[in-house]
Amino acid sequence: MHIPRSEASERVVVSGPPSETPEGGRSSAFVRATGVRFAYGNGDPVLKGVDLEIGAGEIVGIAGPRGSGKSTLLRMLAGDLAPDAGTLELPPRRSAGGRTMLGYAADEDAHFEELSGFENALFFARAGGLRRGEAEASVREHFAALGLADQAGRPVRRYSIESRRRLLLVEALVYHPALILLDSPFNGLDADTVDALVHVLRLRSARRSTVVVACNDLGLLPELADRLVFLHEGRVVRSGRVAELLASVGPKTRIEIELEKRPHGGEVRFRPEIAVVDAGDPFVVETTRGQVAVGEACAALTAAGAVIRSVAVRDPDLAEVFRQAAGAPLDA
Amino acid sequence: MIALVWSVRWRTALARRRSFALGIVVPAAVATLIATGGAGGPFAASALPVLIVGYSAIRAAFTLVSDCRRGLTARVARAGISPASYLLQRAAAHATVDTLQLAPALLIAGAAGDASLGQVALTVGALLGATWICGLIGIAVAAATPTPEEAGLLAGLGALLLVHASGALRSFADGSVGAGLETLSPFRFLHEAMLDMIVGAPVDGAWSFVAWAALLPALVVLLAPRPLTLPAYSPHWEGQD
Repeated sequence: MHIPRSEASERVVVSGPPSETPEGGRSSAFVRATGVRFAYGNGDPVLKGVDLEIGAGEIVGIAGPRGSGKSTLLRMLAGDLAPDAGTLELPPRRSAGGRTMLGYAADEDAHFEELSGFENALFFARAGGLRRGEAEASVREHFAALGLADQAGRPVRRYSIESRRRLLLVEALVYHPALILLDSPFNGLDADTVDALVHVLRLRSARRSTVVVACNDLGLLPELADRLVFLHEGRVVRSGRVAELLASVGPKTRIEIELEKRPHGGEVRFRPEIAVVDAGDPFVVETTRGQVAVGEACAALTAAGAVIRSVAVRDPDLAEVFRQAAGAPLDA
Repeated sequence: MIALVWSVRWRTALARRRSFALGIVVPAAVATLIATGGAGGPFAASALPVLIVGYSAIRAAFTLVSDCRRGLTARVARAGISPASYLLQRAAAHATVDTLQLAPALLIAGAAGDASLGQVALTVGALLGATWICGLIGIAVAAATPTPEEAGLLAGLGALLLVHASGALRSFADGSVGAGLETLSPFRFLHEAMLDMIVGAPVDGAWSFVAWAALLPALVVLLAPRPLTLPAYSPHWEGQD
């Protein structure tokens, strides 16, 4: 369980405060990973050469199946782990004004159990560099935003799992860090709290905090993130803005047809807008006509003597982008 | 912010009301038994340092490794408190909480021995210093030990060996190795102050006591912060997602 940091730590570069563009817009990279590789102990590599640039004020969503390296990458950006190879450029731990630059929430559900939620959050606010008055105001603001206000005075040991999760998020955000790293932040939260969290993170981004969220919910991530990064088996397989990613798979609907019985010999006659991608089992076609083409494709196959067992339709979405980029489904 | 951790540790201790009360009542009950049990003064002056040091060192190491393993220390460090500051504030809180809890036991022993106010005050000072040293020993052991149980056991054992070296449990012959070790033991001063309070005896061992109390923090600052904040202690270390 030893992590050889002495050598590896040389690969972590702590950069100065981010420079701003003359227009006051997004700066160049606030966080940069170049060819980052990492393995736990003598195990298989978890990160196999990750390249990633994140600008100041950007909201980046990292998605990938379980085991793809999302949490490890976040822990590396948090400074918990140092790369075995490659370089990592991170902002300094503290700003010139003495504020802690990093806010990180993962699955460490560790609090001062006997103290109230308010006292816990106040501790982290003060540790992050806020003066007492500022800290109290910030805690109150965050408790109200994330729906914890009515539980502020209760000892944390009496909190529900969801409330503990909310408190963890408050503690990561309460001192207004410049770099916010959240690992699966929406897990276990109700819809209202998710909306509130998205709102808070967007406000932070508007105030130039950089937000990195590791999450598998491709329904939620596009609502929040400016840019998505798809990670698969320790590598970035695709990244870009949501519109760019969707455009990359084109407007085609994919229809996968499982067959009980294959068509008779010879070609199946489809309409020109339906293209055969794979004539095996499943029989896969793509079309620009959307789901209207499902019936037409099935009819053509049936006319050719095929017996259909089931049909799956995939409209062009982010899961499909991932599947095409990684060659595997996101929920594997 | 300087005393943030100290303050949280104190509030945590006070919030655990039953545990806090037991921390006073149990040592006081043991001291009462010893004081009223007809044992000789030297026996009481030996038994109480063993009780104090064992209790304090085990608790310091056990609770620290528990906090490390559930990720609390790493979270505190990420939030901006330096590991060295965290550990030293923690040791300071540990010393003051333990002193408050153990002082009634000393007062009972002092009352049984008709001790003067000065003798009691000196012994309480020795108690504060001894619990500070126990806290630091607990940290040093915790830095090298993966589980709370092992940490508590090893810290208790180490501290009790140092109590033994202080001459609390036997008298060493002049000029022997044991006598040499006795002069170096951090807990000799506590034992001697206790002897003075209970049976009246000259107090020695202050210099080694002060040296340990002053040098151990430097050692802890040098050695302890890194292992205590390494993710090896994080509960999801094996989670390789």
